Amino acid sequence: MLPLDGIRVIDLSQGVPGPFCTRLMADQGADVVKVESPSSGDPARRLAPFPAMVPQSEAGGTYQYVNLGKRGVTLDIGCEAGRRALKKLVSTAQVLVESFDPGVMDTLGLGFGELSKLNPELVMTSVTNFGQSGPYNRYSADEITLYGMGGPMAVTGTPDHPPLNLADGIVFHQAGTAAALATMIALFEAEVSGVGEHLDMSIMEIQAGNIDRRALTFLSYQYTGERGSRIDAGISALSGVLPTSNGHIAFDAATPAATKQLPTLIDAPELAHDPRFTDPDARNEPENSEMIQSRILEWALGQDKQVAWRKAQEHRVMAAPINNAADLHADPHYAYRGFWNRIETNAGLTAYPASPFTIDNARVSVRRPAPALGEHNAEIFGGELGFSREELGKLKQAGVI
Amino acid sequence: MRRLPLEGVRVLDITQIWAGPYTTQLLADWGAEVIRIESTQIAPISTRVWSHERIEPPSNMWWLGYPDSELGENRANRWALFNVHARNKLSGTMDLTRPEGRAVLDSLLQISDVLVENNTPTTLAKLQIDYESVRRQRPDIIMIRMPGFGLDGPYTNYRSMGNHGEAVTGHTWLRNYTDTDFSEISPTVVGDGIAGLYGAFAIMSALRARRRTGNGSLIELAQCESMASFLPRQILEYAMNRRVPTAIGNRHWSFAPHDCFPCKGEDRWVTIAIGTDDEWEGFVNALGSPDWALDPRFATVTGRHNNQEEIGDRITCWTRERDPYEIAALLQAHGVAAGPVIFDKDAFSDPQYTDRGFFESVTQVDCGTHLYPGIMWKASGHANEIRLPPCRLGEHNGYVYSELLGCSPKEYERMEVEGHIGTRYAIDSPSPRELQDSITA
Repeated sequence: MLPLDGIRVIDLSQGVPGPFCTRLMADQGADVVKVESPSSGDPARRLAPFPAMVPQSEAGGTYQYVNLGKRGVTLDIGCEAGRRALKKLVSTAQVLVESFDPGVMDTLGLGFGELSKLNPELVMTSVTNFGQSGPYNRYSADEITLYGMGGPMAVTGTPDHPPLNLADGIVFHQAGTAAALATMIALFEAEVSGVGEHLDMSIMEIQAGNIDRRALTFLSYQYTGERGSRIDAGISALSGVLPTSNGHIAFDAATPAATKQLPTLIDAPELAHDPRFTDPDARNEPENSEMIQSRILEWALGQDKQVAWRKAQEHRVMAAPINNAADLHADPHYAYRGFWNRIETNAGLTAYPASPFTIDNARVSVRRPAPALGEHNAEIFGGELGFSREELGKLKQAGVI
Repeated sequence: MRRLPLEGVRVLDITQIWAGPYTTQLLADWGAEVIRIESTQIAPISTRVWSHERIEPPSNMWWLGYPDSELGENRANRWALFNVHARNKLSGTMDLTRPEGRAVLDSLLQISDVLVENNTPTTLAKLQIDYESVRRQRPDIIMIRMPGFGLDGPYTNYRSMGNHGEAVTGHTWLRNYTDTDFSEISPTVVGDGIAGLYGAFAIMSALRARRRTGNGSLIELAQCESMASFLPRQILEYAMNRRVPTAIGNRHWSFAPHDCFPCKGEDRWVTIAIGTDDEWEGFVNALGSPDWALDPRFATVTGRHNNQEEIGDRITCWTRERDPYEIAALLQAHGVAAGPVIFDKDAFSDPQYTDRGFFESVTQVDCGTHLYPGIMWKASGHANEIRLPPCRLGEHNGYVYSELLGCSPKEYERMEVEGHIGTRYAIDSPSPRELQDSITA
């Protein structure tokens, strides 16, 4: 039995944040029904990567990743028949997730007030860029906009460059994970009390409240009044990013245990008896610091980056290779831990990153690929909601499904 | 108003630094009773203190602040790095390396629902704390362990901080300018926040399972995996096509223009992200349709991609003369995603932050009154606010020992004398000699 067995989630959301929220719930056993517009489908279907780089709406890697394990229906909720069908669906569910602009659900007569009359236990999670209220609530945004306004972008990057964005994907997946957590907390209460609620997730605030430096810099500013600035990467005698024969490693030998073992690690045993190295004050003298750095560098340049960091770790030096996607796929640790989830979808057989936690040593096993557009219309509307064949035919003809 | 959703759930917290503490903060914010289990015998570096010795972080690390930039009377209670996640939590002290301290933890486990830890596996092994020993005290406990590399595999005991995790998972590779070396970029520490969110989500999943089955569980969360799971596009690009995405600064694999532009004034910036041709048209209109922007080469996204440099220079000429907030308001009115890059000091007066009441005023005895980042989301059923200021070291020993465990005054005093119960680190406590001197003076 999976943790969320018996929970049905109706997912009206699009793109990455909302769908990733419900994907995490599907992993835990929830029955997630993805609802898409019959004409255009989820815009995430147009996101790269595609096999052989040829765009196809059923084979996008991003679409697959954030929708694994769900079933899918189409429904035009712009028309009355569509809204009736949606309400019927909602009355069988515990959770509804949506990501329309604030006010859209109310305008459609599908606001939380309406839906909770129908289903008092319902938890409705709205995931939007800036939240339901406030002067920016209708602003549009991409990840960089949200990271700049909510996150610590102003102080990330180097002083002589503009503030630096994160890699794409981080902000939206973070939002999806926060939404999943919020939904689970509300559901935990609603299942006992029988009373649901409406959750207002602002991606800007998910950035701002995140411990990724931003919450810290807010508080530091409050404590000290310092505006904060971008700084150069700290390079000291014992730490920094080092070039190797085939890439870079991050390297930090500043702890006493690591410093002690450093001479052995870098094949410079004489350093162990050299006061320029052993005396912490002398070590920070510029010419000594430079001497030590050059010894470390000399060693690093002769090493493979994967070998170098393992050797360093064996000598209690904190180190890590600057890996790329190819390195990850070749890495023995990720493979050993079963991190690659090989799933056959419309995109072919692909190794997807697995759910990053196990419960009682069990990895989530994905039960199905992401749904094709309207794949489960007959199963859900006909089989489960009891629409007759004629009704279904009419809805189809009218373009509702 | 209703009770908070997690009232009645008791969480024991033996976490360090950021990822674990963030997990327990998220649960505490929604009503869980989180008790930090701390020791006065060792001052924990990067958790409550910068260094074992009573010294401040270097001045260029401006984000590691103390109120008025002073360590103060008890530094354990004044560091922003700790106080940022310590609201709504309780602090009890005991030394887990000694049997009496361990016995206190065991008694607490018997009346708790969740145990959270994020130490290197060897640290817990030394303390002889594992799922089996914890379960003996409380058979249906939920224990979550969140070490950097997981509990098994070739790297299990490897040590890492945020920047190392970020490097291993591939994020460092992807986050760079096109003209800088990896050695020039300081890390973001984004991985801690990601692991923290997943940790809290996994606990909620296990709590629901326990309610239905009566069984607890062991959750294992490897931080190297949680970070990688947020980079599917880059990872799948390799899995599908054997292509390795590289860093492109503030640009985007599909949008163009997509960048961070300088504005009027010193160190002020605006981001602009244009995906579709409609958005480009809105942008051109917002600028008053200057001749350069009507160039047919720029009418399609492919054309804009191929000419990003030229377009960027043109846009920079325009943004340099203007305020980032004004630019954002103008472009947004034309349907373009644009926003100021908000510095900390400006956030406290930003209309969105203030309208939604994101910051909350909190008074903590050792720090005074400040605005703290508030609760991360709004729930219609609960007007949720920060209930308790950042917990001071050992602040809730009375509650933990006397109220929860029914310790007698005599016993309490003994635990105090033996260095289990306390409110400051041993290294920060005056020696008998210093005490004598201060009395003489």
